[in-house]
Amino acid sequence: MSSSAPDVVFANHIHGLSVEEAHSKLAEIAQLEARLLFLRNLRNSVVPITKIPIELLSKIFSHCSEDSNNSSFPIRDDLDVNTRFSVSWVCRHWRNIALATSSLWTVVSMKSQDTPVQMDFVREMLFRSRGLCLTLNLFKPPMDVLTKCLSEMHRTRHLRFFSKKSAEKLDPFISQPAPLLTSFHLLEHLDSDVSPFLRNYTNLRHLTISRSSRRIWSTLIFPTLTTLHIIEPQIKIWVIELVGRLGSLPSLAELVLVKCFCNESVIAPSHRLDRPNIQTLSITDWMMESVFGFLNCLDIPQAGITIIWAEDGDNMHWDRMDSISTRLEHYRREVSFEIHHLGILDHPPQPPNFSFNISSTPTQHRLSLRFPEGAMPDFVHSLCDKLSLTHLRSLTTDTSAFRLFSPAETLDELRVVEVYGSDPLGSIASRFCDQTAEMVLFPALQELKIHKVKADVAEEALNRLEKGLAIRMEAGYRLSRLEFVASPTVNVDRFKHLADVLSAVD
Amino acid sequence: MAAPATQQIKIRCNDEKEFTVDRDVLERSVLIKNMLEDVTEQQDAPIPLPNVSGPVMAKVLEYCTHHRGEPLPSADTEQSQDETRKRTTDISEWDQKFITVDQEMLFEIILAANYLDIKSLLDVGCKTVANMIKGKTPEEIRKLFNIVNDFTPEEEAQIKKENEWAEDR
Repeated sequence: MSSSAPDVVFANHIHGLSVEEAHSKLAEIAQLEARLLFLRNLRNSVVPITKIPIELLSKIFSHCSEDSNNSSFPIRDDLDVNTRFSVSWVCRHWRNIALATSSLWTVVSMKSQDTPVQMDFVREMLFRSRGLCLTLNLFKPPMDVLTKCLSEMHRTRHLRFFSKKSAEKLDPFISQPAPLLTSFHLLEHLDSDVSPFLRNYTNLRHLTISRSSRRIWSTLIFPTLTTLHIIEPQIKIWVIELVGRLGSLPSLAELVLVKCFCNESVIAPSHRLDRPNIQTLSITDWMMESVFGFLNCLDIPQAGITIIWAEDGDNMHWDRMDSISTRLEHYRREVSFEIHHLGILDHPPQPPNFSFNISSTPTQHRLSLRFPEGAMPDFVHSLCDKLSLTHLRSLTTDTSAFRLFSPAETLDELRVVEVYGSDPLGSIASRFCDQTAEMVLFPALQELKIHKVKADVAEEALNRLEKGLAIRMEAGYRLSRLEFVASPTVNVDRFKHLADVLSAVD
Repeated sequence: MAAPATQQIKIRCNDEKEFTVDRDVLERSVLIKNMLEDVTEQQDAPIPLPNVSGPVMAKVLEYCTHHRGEPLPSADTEQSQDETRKRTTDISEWDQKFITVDQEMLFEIILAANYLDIKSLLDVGCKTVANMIKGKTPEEIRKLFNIVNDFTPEEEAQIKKENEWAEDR
């Protein structure tokens, strides 16, 4: 970096100084620096935001970190806990307020294995949070960090705990009384039965047990528990066993089961367990016989039920789909059915390779189908071939599957997402209105929404879409709503022109 | 005795600007509500509001008119909000449009809501500022609010250390 002229003059001047004079100059520089800081401080005191009094700025900072306490399971991997650091690094005034705002520092979330950094961080967070309730997200914590954190169990409200340490080392910590604990997420705890310890958590409302020992949940008795998620237990669960366990969870409102069931043929029970409190039931499994057996054992009239059939695409049994759809019809209530593909549960949801939803409610037939770009053409084709669009009212799809659909006479909403490929809009135009208007695939279509149009495909494709739309409108097939969500690089005028074409025809 | 809903109340701001407003609209402000309850006889003299200017009061009244009739937050609801706090993005569409103003006006509205004790408006203002801050780096926040870095070298060293913590989260 080159020095500016005054710097050079100053440097030459310094070189010629005696030791005393140099010291004097350094003192002068220090004074100037102090003066500069003072002026900066003064400047900050007259900017508009300084009008906000300290207690309100503190309230604003607290709002910045509120997501952590929003949901029933507030501790997530993507939790944004860094805004609190940002506000404390803006200026001295803000830092003083941030450090005095205890609620900013109540989330102790760690991923690193670096013990010294972790210990400093944990100590400081526990100090800054003062006596407030804590959210602890302990991912493979070193022993000293674990000891430090779990000595604060008496004021911990949310705990997410992942450790592969042996039960001998962990159990003493988990067994700490935690009277304020309302949500607990235990990951991959395999060694021991912690359910006796969970009884110390007298206020527990939300429990998630992921990839852990079956013994953990097998003796659960929680009168206060409202949310239970069991994710891929180490040993699968028998239907009758789970139904029996629900009997000891009288307040349960949300039950999420992921790959829980054994493969069994379940006989319909003589009477169904009445669980009117359950509002949400989500089952992700591929043991569909057990899933339906479980559903047959329960009476949960108010529940929104989601059944996700998780099965590897390579082993997809298409003949089972009809049977499952038919059986879902028997429930005669809002049951949404999805198929997820290729082990997405291990890496949710970035995004799923595809998902496919059918609502069984007769008036609300909706389908959502998404595929990754250019992937699995044979698979896409075979799936589309199996779908009947009769009675379908709403379709969300991407262009890879779009061209494969058969006519749908009742479709009134079409949402096409992720428009890519060489001529996707042209393809869309020709699919819902062919060039001669002799065959219209979607005659009842009222709404067409096209999302994420890329610039490199827009120009020629829009020409074709204009033509297709004009023909459609001339033939008397009206759209009441056409919506584009385009790439920012697409020329907006092209869309305006399209709108002109539509209004001219109309 | 409860006053009739249509009673008109006069207020005077610090720039002498006066407003005549329905009582139930003004009673969104706990400060004014208490003042009115303390006054036994009807008075024609306007209520002085020395901490609020006319333009800001006009905005506050726009908010109060839109939300007239809605229940005022009680101590109980405040407590339950503390337990399960709402997302900062939870601002209704109308409120978001209403609060889309320049920074000076935004801060003035916050100060007025605080002075007049209108909790819901104060929340909307504070959440809006919080949303402006969220996800930004310190430098971006400084730029947004025209603030300069005034830390001492010692404070800078501590912040550098804290930076390691933030990177690990």
